[in-house]
Amino acid sequence: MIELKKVSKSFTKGGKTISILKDLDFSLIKGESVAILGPSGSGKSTLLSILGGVLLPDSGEVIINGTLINNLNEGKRSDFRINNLGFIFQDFRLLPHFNALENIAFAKEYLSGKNEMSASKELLKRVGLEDRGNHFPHELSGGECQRVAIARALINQPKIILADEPTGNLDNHTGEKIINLFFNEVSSSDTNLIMVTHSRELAERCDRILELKDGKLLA
Amino acid sequence: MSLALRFSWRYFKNNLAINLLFVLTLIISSLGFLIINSMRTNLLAQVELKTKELSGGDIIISSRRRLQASELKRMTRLFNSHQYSQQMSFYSMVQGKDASKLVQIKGVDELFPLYGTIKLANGEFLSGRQLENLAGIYVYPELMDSLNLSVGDALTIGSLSLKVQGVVEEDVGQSMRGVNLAPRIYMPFSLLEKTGLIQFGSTISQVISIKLNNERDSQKLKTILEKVFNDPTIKIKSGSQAGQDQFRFLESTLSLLGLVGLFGIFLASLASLYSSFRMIHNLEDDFQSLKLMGIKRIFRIRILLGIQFFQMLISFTAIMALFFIIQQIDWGSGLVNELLKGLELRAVITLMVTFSLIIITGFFMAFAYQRKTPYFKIIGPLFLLALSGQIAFMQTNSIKMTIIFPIVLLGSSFVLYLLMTLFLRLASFLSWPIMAERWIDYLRRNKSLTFPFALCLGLGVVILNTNYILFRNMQEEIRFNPEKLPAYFLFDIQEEQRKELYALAHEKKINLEQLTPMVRGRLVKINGSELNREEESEDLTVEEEAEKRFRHRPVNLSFMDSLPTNESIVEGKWFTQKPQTPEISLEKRYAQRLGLRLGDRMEFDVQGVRVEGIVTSLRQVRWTSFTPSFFIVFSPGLLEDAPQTFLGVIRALDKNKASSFLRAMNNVLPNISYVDIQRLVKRITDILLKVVDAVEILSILILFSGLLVIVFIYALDKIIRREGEKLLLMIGLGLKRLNQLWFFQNYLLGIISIGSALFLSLGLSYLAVTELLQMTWNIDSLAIGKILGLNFFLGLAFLFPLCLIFRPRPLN
Repeated sequence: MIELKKVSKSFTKGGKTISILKDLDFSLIKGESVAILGPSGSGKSTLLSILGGVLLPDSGEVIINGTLINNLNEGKRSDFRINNLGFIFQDFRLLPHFNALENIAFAKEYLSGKNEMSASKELLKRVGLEDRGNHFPHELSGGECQRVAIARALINQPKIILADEPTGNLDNHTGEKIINLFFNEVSSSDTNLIMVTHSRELAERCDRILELKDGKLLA
Repeated sequence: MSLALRFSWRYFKNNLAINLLFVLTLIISSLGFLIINSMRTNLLAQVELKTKELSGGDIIISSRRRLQASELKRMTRLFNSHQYSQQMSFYSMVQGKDASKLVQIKGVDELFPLYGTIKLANGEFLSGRQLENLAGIYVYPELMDSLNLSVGDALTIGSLSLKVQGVVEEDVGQSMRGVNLAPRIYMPFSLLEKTGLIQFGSTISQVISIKLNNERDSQKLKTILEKVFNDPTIKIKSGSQAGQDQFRFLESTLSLLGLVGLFGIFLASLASLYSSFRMIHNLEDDFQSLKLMGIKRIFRIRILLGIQFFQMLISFTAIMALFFIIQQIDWGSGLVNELLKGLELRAVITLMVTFSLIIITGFFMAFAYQRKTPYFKIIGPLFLLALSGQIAFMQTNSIKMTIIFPIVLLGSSFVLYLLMTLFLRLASFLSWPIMAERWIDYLRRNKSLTFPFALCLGLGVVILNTNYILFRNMQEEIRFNPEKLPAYFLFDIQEEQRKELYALAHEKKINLEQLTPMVRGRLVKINGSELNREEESEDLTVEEEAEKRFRHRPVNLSFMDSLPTNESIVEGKWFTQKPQTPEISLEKRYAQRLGLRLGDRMEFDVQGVRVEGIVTSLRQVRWTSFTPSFFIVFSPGLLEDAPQTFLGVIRALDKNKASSFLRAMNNVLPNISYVDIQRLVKRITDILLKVVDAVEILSILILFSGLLVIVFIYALDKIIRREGEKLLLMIGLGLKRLNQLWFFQNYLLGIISIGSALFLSLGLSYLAVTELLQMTWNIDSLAIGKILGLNFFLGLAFLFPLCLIFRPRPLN
C-alpha cells in the first residue's frame, strides 16, 4: 500500500545542512493504522509531507498504491493527493471564507465541477454538525472545527488519511470525543491512517506505533 | 459562479475595507490619467477637424499657379462622384474711401466651406452660396479698422466695386499658430475674373478641396491623383496630413501634464504592490491548505486573478461613473467641457490596460519578493520603470518622454532616498530620549518601510511643489506682466519705410520695437548633402513628425549684428566681425531636431540664389516673451542684398491708441500689413492657466494617493510590528508611551520625507524652469511660505488619521 525506501531529507539553514530523515524505510499494509511518535523537530511533519507528496525526498523512493511519487510532477502529485489522501491538522486549516458545509464540499466540487452538497450534508450529519452547516469557521468552536476537518478529509473517500496532531489544539474532553469520532469514521470507511502525535495514549489506538528518532523509524 | 471565482469574491468581500481602499487608490491615481487622456483625445480630434477646416477637405489639391481648364477637367473626372469646392487666392491692393491696403483676396465657390464654418460678427455664418447670391464681399475686422469701413461701404477691388456685406469674426482658416500676412477678403468665385486682377503672370494659388463620400477612399484617391499629376507645382494632401502643427503647443502641454498623471499611476503600482503583499500574506495559509488537499497551482492562480478581477471591475466601474459625473459638471469654461466630452474607446482600453498592468506589476513584484527571487531588488524596480515607460509611451506617443519619465522617476526616487538617509543620519546625531533614539535607529535600519513611506509622501509633495513653482514662474511671465505681451505684428515693412514708421510710432506714443529683417528661404543642403523629401508616413512618433516638419518647411531667415534681449547664447560664440565664411546662429532646439552642431554647413535657396553658412552658435529663446525670433540668423554681410521685408512688434496698448496708430500707418504706409495677435495670445494664456489649475488638482490627487499607499504600508507593517509591540507592552512599556513613540516615529519620518521632497522639488523646478521653459528661476519668500505651509499642512494633517488608525493597541 505505502512503501518508503531509503528516504533521506535534509534542509539548509544558516548555511548549515540539517539531516531530518536518513535512509528511512517504512511500509504500510491495506487497512492498517500507524502512529508516529517523536520529539519536536524530529521530522514527523516532514515525513508526513513526503508521504503526502507535498515534499520530495532528496533520495529514496515513495511508492503509494504502486505509484512512484518521486516521478510525478507537481500537477500529478496534486491529482494523486486529492484522489487518494485526506489531511487532518492540529490547527484544522479550514478555509475561513467558506462555511462548514462548503469546506467539506470544496474538494468534491473541485473534482466534479458540480455544486453537489448531498454527500457533504451526510458527512456533516455523521460528525454531528448537521445544524452548523451554514456557520463559518470563526463561528465554530475548536472541536467543531476539527469535526468539519475530519469530514472534509473523508469527502473524496481517500485511501489514506494523514493526521498531524489531530487533538493538539483541543482540551482533553473535546479531544477524546473527537478522536473517538475520528477512529470510528476511519475504521468504518476502511481507510489507512498515518497519524503523527506526541501522545502515546492516542498512538496506542493505532495498530502499530513507530518512533522517529535520528531520522529513522523505530518500531 | 465557479469555485475559484467564488473563493475570490468571498476573499474580496471579507477584506472589503482594504480592497475598497485599493480601489480608491486606483481611482484617485487614475482619474487624472483618464482626464488627461480624454483631453488629449478630444484635442487631437479637434486638431483633425481643425485640420480639415483649415485645409477645407478630406483631400486638398493645391497649386501655386492657376490650373488650366484641361487640367481641371482631367482632375474633376477622377473625383466628380464626391463633393468638391474650388478656391483661388492672391494678394492685391484694394481701395477704400480714402486709403488703400494690401489684402489677401479669396474667391470661393458655392460649396465652400466643405468643413467648418465662418462666423460673422453679427453671429451669422457665411457660406459660399450666400456670397454668390449677394455678390458682395466679407472682410476681416483689421481691414474694417484700417480703412475706416462700415458694413455697406464699397471697396474697390481691381475694376469692381463691391459692397462689404459683413465682418468675419472666426474664419475656418484661423489657427492657433498661423497668422496671415494680410487681412482676408472673401468674394464669390464667379466675380474673380471680373476684377481684372487675374492676368497672365499673376501670383495665384488655387485650391480644390474634396469631401469624400467615404473617408476610407482618401489614400486611394490621393495615390491616383499623385500619379496623374506628377507636377512639383501641384501638391496633393490628405486632410489628416495637412496642418498637423496646429495645436501642437497644446498637445505637448497636455503630454507634459499626462506625465504628471503618470506619477499617480506609479503610486498606484506601489499600492498594488503592498495590496498584493498583504493578499499573498493573508492567503498563504489558505493556499497551503489547498495545496495539501491536492488543489492544483492553476486553481490558486485563478483565485488570485479573480480577486484582481473584482478589484479592477469595481475600480473601472467607479472611475467611469466618476468621470461621467465630472463630464456633467459645468466647469464654467466651454474649453474644459469641450475637452472632457465623450469617451473614446481607446481611452477605455488604455485605462483597462493600465489597470491590468498596475495590478499585474504589483502582484508580480510582491510574489517575486515573497519568494525571494534572485536579483529581485534589481529586477523589481526595473520592471516598475519599464511599466512607467510603457504607460508614458501610451500616453504621449513620444520616445523622448518615454525615456525621460522613467529617468525622472528613478532620479527623483534616488535623490529622495539619499536625502532621507542623510536627514535620518543627522537626526541620529541629535540628543533624544533613549526610546526615541532606538526608534530612530529602527527607522534607519528598516529601509523597506522608510523608503516607500518617503516615496509615497515625497513624490506627491515634489509634484505639488515643482508644478507650483514652475507655473508660478510662467504666470509671472504671462499673466502678471500683460504689458510684455505683444498686441500686433507688423509685416511687409520695406527698408525705406522704417524711418517713417518709427517717427509715426513716436508721434502716436506707441512702443514700436526694433524692426527685424526677414528673408524667405528653404534649406537645401546640410554639410553638402541634399535634403530628400521622405515618403509620407502616417505612423510617425511625435519626434519624427517634428523633425520632418522642421526639415522641409520654408524658413524665415534673418540677419543681425547683436543678440536680442530675449535670447542668449548657450553654445559657441556670437558672430565675429567680418567673418571669412558667413556665420549662422541657430535656435538650440531647432538645431537639436535637425541634428545640427557647431561647425556644420547649411545651404539655403533664397529666391533661386544659393547661400551657405557655417553654424557658429546655438541660442536659447525665451518663448514667453512672444517676440518674433528666428530659428536661423545669419551674420551681417550676406543677406542684406536679398529680397527682404521687416517685421515689427507693438506691445499691449489700449484699443483706441492702437486704432489711431494703425489708421495713421495705413494712410501713410498702406502696404504694411498688421495682425492682431491679442486673441491668439489670450487663447494660449487661457489654456495655460487651465492647465495650471488641472496640474494643481492632479498634484493634490497624487499626494492623496501617496497617502493612501502609506495605508497599505502601515497595514502590512502592522502585522509585522504587532509581535514587537506585544513584547514591549509585556515588559512594561505603557501603551501611552508606545503611542507617543509611534506618533514620534511617523511625524519624524513625515517631516524628513517632506523636507527631502522640498529640497528635491526646488532642484527639479529649477531645472524645469531654466532648461525646459528657458526662463529665469524665481522664487520669493511668499511662495516659499505657501509651499512650506501647504506641504506640512497637507502632509502632516493627512498623516494624523493614519497614525490614529494604526496606533499600537492594548494587549488582548
